[in-house]
Amino acid sequence: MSKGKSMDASKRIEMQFSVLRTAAAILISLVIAFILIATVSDNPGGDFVTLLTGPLHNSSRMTTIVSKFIPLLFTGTAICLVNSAGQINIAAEGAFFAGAVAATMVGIIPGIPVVIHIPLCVLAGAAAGAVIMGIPGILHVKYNVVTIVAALMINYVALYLGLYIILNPLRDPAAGFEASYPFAESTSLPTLFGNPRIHIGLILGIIAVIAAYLLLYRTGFGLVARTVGNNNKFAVYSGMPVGKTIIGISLFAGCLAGVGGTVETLGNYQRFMYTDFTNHGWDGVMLAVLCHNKPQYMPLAALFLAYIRTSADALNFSSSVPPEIIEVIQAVIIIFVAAEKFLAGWEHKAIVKNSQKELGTQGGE
Amino acid sequence: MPDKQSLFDGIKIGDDMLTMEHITKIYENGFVANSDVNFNVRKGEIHGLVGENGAGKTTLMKVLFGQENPEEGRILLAGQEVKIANPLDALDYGIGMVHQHFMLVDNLSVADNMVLGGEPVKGALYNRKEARRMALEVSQKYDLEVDPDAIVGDLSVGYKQRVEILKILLRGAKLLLMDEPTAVLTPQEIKELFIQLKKLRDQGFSIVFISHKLNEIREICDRITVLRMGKSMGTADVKDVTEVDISRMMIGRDVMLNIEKAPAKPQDVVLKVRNLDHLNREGRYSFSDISFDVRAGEILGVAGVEGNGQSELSDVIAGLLPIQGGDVQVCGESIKGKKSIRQIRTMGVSMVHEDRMTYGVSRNQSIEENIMADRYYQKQYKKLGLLDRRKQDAESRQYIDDFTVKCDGPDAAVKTLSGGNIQKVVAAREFTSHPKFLLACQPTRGIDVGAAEMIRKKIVGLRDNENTAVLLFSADLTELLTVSDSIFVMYGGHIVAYFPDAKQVDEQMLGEYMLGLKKQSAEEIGGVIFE
Repeated sequence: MSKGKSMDASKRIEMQFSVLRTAAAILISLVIAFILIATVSDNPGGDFVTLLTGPLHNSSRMTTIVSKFIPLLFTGTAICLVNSAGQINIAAEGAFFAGAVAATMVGIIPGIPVVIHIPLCVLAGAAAGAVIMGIPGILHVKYNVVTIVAALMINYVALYLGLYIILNPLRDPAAGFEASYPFAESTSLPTLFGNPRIHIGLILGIIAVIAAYLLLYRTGFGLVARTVGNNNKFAVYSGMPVGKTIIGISLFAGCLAGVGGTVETLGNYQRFMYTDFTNHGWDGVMLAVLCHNKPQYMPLAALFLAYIRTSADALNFSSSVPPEIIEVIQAVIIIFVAAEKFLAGWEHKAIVKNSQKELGTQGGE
Repeated sequence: MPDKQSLFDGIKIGDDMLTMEHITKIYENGFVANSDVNFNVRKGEIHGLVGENGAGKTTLMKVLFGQENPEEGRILLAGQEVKIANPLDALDYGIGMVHQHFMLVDNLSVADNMVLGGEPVKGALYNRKEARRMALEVSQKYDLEVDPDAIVGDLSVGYKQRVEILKILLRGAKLLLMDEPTAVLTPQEIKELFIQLKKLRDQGFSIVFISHKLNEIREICDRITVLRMGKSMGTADVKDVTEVDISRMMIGRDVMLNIEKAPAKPQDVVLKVRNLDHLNREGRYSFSDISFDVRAGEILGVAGVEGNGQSELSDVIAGLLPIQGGDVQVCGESIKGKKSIRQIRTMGVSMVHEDRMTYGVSRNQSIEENIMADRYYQKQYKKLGLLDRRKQDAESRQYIDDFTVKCDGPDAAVKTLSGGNIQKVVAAREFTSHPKFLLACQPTRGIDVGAAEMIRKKIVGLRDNENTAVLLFSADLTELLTVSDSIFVMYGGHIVAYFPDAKQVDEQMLGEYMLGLKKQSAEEIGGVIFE
């Protein structure tokens, strides 16, 4: 009986269609993008080329891609982790913000040596992020609060508490605008490739991705987390420590998001200047969907998003196309890629055809 | 298109009513559920559709009932080709289905339930009087007695099934599809059902009777069609074949219908349950004052109609529900208080939950991860703080062999397996942790004969080789009587009978206690306590 073989082939077809689905989604969204550009642009051909290849035209834009890529690694991975455990914990936005605030609180202290000061900032950011993402997890485990609601609310706590701290005790009246005191010299992050805009956060981000992958797929903790996400009741019945794991993974995800906020702030600014959410957390939610919650795909997804964001900047700079168009394109791509049943009809036909072919070859048995 | 309502009017008893030709159905994951199946039902016959689980019986019926679209094949009703797009279509053609899980609203009356979906109205309002009249009429016409005013939630399972049958008769069904209708019934209720079905047959109805219980098929069916691995193994008159013939057609080899097993040699008490109570959310006792012991090297069976407290009792023993009153001890240690399921399991307890897909496995995860779920944290499965994949892989492969799980390998997702193979994965986990006490709830429910046979043998093997104390909950009385050494019966949340020797009992005797017709003396019941 070649049932096993046919199942294998089906898995292969599913994989092919997964790739095909993403490719088709991007293609369709580009067609829509072209139509949109054509309706608003004086030079649709040129602008479309800018959309596709604009980020590669000069090294400054390529640096921008990397710069946009770094924080996405952190928030995207954080959301992958909590989603894997079935927690719709979207507090990565607040955790990222809180991380930036905590890093600022430590970062403006003068007179600490570099080798201690940067780790201290990172630790502070991680701790603040852990608190913000940990709270919804703890509330869910202890009091059965719906995680997404708690996470949504805690985001605002993080935002306004953070803004209060920045705009009151930490506000620099000499800055001339709403910002904190400047960071101490000793907090400026080491840079890579001799490029002042690419900082050590890139390496930390890659480490975060690898750590998250190992945690999820190579440790007992990760096995429990994924089991909880797939079938909570089964996890309970097997004797797994469900509550501890949910809290643990929320805290760890919060650490990652907090560190993301830390390196983003210290790496790109002289002082804390945010006045609202940075949207990195929401981007993380979107990226996690694109990756099916698998951290190993996060660099690819984050790179993709950073690329089209940079395209948007390029278009904005060089043409009459408004950046909102890029937002529309992004949304279309996400919708198509996230739609599991997209192309499902073709996929099913391919599987049926394959199974029938195998049935035919079996006929002689 | 032929006229839906009157399609069956012209045909006589014995004529072909339904013909399904060359049906092929392939699911999304490539699983070939039906392959070139031919199936035919005559007017006025009870036709058994027989096969192991995963053989394609239910799929074939879903195709007929418009719930699945076949890739190939055609359906003829009274000789005319028809397209059945959905269940409403099927009902219009006169095809009705009695599902294993009843489609009834518990807090409505019998009459209300029967007219649901085609309610009589007076103006804009529901006409309750008319509904009552319709219910009574159809009940009298087919000689299936029901009280139209009774509330469905208060009725027994057998009674509910009768309401379900009347409901589809009221909708004008001429061809009744019954998906394992006896799975939830007691022997007495099964007898009653068979009388009703025969009455319907004699009035010209056709019935497709899905089952894998050979004795029932022999008793009730006129003809049978056997499916095996999605293919039809042929159709036969029941009077021309024996049970052994049927089982050979079903699984392609002879099966032992009886388990060989030596008498038990019970030793010390392992599980001790004392005065256990449980109040459910509605504030009613699901069971109360339950006391019994299970000894090492003994299989104690629990019989009872579903809903008499067994599910709650097993969940309390497993630690899934808290102990509210009384005590449960494993080897002298109480599980009361803060004990987590991990702690209970490390006391030497293994458990098979009756709800396999919810508590038994995580369907999206691999076989390996499902097997490792209760032991991944132990030192032997770790290396440098990470999981030792090689060790886990090797052990999983071993268990896949030992338990003959049919799969692509340990990385295959559990959802790609058939029901029997999924239960083998559960067994591969729960039976291999050297349990002192095994809680086995409906361990073979809904799985094929071959897999069930293996699981029963493994349970007996645990008793003999590892001296495990086993508490077996089963709705399958044949299984209960062959596997158990001793049996107690639950009715209304109490133990109403205890039989120290299962060999001295038969289904008929159990049935009387299960229905609450009889109750043993306190002294007899007390025999189940040894300490």
